[in-house]
Amino acid sequence: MNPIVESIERGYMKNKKDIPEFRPGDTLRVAIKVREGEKERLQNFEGVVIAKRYAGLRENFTIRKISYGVGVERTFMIHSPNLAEIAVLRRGKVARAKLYYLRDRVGKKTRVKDKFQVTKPAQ
Amino acid sequence: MGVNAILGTKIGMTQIFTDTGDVVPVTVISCGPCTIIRKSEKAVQVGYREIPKDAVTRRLNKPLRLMFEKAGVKPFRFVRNLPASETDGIAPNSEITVSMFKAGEIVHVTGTTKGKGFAGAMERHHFNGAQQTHGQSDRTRATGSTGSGQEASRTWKGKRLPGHLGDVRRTTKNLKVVRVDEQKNLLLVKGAIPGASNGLVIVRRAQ
Repeated sequence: MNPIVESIERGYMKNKKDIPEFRPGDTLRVAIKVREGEKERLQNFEGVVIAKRYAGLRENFTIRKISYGVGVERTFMIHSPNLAEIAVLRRGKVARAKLYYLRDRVGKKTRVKDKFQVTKPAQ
Repeated sequence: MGVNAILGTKIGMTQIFTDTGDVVPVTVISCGPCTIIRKSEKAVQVGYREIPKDAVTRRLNKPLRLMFEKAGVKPFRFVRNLPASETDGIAPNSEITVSMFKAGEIVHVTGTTKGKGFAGAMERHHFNGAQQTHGQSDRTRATGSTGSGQEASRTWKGKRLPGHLGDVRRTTKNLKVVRVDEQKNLLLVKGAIPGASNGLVIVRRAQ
């Protein structure tokens, strides 16, 4: 990428430390700023990360959840000022980078296995 | 107020966020500084992108070199006439910079579009082409008929046909200035502008 364009993009990017590390399969709760007339409030969205796209300033991820029996997916720009907070609730163990197969699954099959921390046995 | 346009180089496109979180597609233009060479009542002649000293004798012929010398300015690669609303207070050899623009202003950007070479009617005029089935074999992108038979006996003037496409001067009008960076001489304009990256563009204030 052109170094000038890159420097402009860097100016709009959030600090890396402010973004928690997460991967597809993890369950997140994100807080989005919602403007209603004059007022501004935070709206939560909770679900499984089914895709993450690494693209500098355009880095984004898609969260899927089942809401009242209907699958809902939302894509968030990581560096958007409207994305107030990301909380990682669970780590999932998955074998794919894109979990689009969850769209075809219903009920129990939509569960993603927890990723357990492997601790070495004490010697 | 003074000169109403500036020369620049298209750097490329990206997107930025506004404070409200909206994504804005922008083109980055490196603008100026341009040096005023001479002026008339309604226009100024400016130079852009200085030619390095050791390349002057190689890149410029003697008449051009003397033209710069006579005006008392450095030699430039690009010399263009720019519109000005008033030239009274403008001194030769003074510079114009991006600071002439403010965020929120509306501008026109002129450039040379990307050359596409000899293009077919589908690319050049957005013809639909022909069907790929029903026995068709080798005419799927053809122009088709160029006119009627006995009655006309000729092809109308202006009939859209394949030919050279692109590499012409075009102006994209009414683009909004999103940001002005005076330190780096950068201009961020909402939307696309003509031409490839590193191409010369003229940014003119919309009147």
